[in-house]
Amino acid sequence: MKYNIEKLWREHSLKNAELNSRRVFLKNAGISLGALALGSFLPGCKTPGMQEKALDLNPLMPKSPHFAAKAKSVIYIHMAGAPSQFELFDFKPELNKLNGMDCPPSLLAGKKFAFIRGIPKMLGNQAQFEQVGDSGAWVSENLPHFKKVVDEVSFLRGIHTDQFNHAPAQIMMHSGSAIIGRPSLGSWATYGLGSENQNLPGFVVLTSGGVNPDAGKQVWGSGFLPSVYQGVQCRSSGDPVLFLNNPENTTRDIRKLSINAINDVNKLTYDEFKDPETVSRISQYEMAFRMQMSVPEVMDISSEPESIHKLYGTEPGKESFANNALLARKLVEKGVRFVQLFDWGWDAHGVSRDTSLGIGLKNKCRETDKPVAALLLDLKQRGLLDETLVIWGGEFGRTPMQENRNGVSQVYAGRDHHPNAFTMWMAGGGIKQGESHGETDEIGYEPTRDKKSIHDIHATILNQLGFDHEQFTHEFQGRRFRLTDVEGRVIKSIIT
Amino acid sequence: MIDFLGRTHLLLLHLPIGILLLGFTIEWARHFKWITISKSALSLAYFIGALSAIFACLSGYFLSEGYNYTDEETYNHFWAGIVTAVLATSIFMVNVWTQSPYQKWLALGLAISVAVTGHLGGSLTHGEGFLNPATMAEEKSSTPVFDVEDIPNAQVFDDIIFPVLDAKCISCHGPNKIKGKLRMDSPDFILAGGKSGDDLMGQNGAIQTRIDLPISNDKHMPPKNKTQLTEDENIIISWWLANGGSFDSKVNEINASPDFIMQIEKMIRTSSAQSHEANIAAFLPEEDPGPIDEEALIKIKASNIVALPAGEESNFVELNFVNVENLDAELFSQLDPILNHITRLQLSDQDVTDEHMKSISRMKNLVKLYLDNTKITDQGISLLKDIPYLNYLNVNGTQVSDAGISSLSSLPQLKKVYGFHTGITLDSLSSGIEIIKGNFVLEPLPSDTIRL
Repeated sequence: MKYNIEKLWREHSLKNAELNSRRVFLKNAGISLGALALGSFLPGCKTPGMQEKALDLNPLMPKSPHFAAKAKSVIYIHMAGAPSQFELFDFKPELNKLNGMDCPPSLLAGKKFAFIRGIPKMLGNQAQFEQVGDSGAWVSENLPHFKKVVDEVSFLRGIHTDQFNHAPAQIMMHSGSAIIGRPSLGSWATYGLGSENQNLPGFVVLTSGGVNPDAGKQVWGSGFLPSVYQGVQCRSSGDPVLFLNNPENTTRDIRKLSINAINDVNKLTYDEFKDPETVSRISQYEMAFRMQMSVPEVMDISSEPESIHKLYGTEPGKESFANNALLARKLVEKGVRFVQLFDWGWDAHGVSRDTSLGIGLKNKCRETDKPVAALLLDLKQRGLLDETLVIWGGEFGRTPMQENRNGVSQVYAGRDHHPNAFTMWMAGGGIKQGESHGETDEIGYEPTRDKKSIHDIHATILNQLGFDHEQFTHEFQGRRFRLTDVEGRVIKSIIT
Repeated sequence: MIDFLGRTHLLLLHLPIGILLLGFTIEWARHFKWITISKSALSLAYFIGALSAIFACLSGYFLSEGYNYTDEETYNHFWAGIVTAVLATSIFMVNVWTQSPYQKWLALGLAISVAVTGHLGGSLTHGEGFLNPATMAEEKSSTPVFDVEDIPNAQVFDDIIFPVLDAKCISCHGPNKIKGKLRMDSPDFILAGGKSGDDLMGQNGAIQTRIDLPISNDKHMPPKNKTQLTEDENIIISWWLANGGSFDSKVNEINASPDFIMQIEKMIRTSSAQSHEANIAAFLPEEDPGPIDEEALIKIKASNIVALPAGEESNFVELNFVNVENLDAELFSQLDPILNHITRLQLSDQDVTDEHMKSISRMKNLVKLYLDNTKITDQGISLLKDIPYLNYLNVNGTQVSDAGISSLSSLPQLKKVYGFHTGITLDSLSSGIEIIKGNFVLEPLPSDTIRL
């Protein structure tokens, strides 16, 4: 034993002497200096996927777009589940003549449907249509209030997408790609423009219909952009933003002190590692603190006058599309860039009473028709429609054939998913009034004129916000990404 | 035989370049006494150089005859080549028979002449601007740019066909280059045809047959090293030629089925996806106010005013007071240095009074003005009557009345005034300015509340 300890001690002394020798010191010094120098040669080796420009401690600082913009804010109304264009806007007398007949095989050859099997029957318009407004647009009886504002909007009647299932089609509609991982429209907008009102988020999401969209929160996600640009989901009843209130017995001053302390530490961390997510976290804390004051105020619709409640059909405290529509106006009025409304329940397959064209769809129309018309009128009377772009649409269209799920004919009238042709509309924000763009064939199966893609819509929205969609990029994983990827063409004929 | 001699030009031309430049190098190296070399050796170099230059000229002449070049294109190269040959011959003779101190300057002149000739020749083969790929890429946009919205009512030739020709043919068959003595930049030129004398138009005309030839064929158009027609462009040009090749009809006046209109639309879509298109921006006054006072702008931003250029690189600025808590006079006076730059001013919900309106009335480039829910009165609003570009005015929720708003009826650009919750009773001003007074109602319907 004694021998071993002595041997170890000798070995230790020897090693110690070696490591403290002049030679070792100089050698290590050389390596350290080299490493220091190397660090300065490789300035790009910080964190991938973040442009230098955006590494500001306030990522939501307002920024200029590429050129003078016609629209300052966007309200995007997405009817999740895909409303049937045949019961709202696409009047097809020829299809009505074919009602109940077998679908010709030429329409089915090579096509794949979500639920239609075998040979379905053609299904005419399940609503009465009339031409309304100075523009003479065809609108169905399901939208009596919308008929009064029809001259404010530009219809896009030949939209097509390449997805026929809800989740990928919704992700496609909001991020330009059916595969998750891309930033949503609102994220791009706040990434490019920041937030004018520093006390409110730049991108707010409101959902109604009882269920979130099928694609989940991905449809307002920030994808590869820093997460500070993702949509902030607010609720129209109860606390507008969950977990925003201070815990019991915590005053606002104490909360401020603790947030400052946390952010100081985060700033040190950011200086050390340069991770943009740290910046996101800092600004999210600060934003949340400011929102504690501003959000309850702006999200409170009970202070609105009775005339406004009558206009929208709102009932404070209730979760409804009407309340969300009114909130959208209030948010835009306070300088929020992008308000995304989702209303769930438009998937009219006809498999039940609630999904039938004759009952379920009509009820959805009754819930939303007045608020949509009211939103346009209210924006107009407040002078906001001039610079607020309003977009209405679903994720795809519906078939001119009656759905026969699993080849069995159904009791209720319903339609299957149809990505080839559907209708959307835009209003305000530099969009022409009473314009109609695009046409479908006699049965509304395919566009015959001005067929436009989702990328074209995105290009148009970005143009209205002042962006050249081809130049508006973010570098991620060694490649510059665009919302419109390699496609998209601004739909010039609906722009003033 | 002539053809063959012509093509030896491409081989021969390199000899005088190499040999004459070598002669020039030796000449000057000898002058600086870096090397010693006998005069006869230099004579030999100049002799072979001059001889090859003369042969290059001859073969070049044959080449231009037998090939598709026009006189205009080859003119400079032709004469530069002759100058080079003459210079080479004379320097050879000077070297052999005289002892001139000017010989080295002659050699310099020769070298320059060789370089110029070579460059001109290179431009013929490889195209103008070959040396600068950046400008080349910009100029050589071979993607058609269409400006057409309503396809059935578009002009077939001007709107649909010509952009394709412009992108794919006219760089060689146009004003800058007239290969094969053919220009395609106007209907008259197309009808006139080119050197071969073939009729270009019609289903069996030269355009169609040249396109249809296999790409390996020398007569295939566009030539195989140039951007080819896309499949869509091919189909559409054939359709145009097969349907009479009209120069002045609309699409729907000739045989165009809905499917075919879709085809045209597809072509336009694809090419616009590749070409950069102009953006549609909001209106800004034409006259640029010059650079903005950056220091003043920084101060303004520090006061919580959102102050952003109206687009990157614009000298106009848009202001939004949404984050301002107290609008005092001092804050407003910060705007003085940039009054001419402001095109959009949003003062909603602020304590703006008629006093502030004096500053605002000096903003000559103001286009949009938000004064909703402020304390302005008729007196303040009438100060706006000299703002020439004012297009949008929002006085919602103010004390402004008919008297104040009527004073603005002469504003040339003003289209809409928002007068919700004001004393205004007019629907429009005499000059056609629309006043939106709001208070819209949607009559309640039973269906609003009753569910099926």
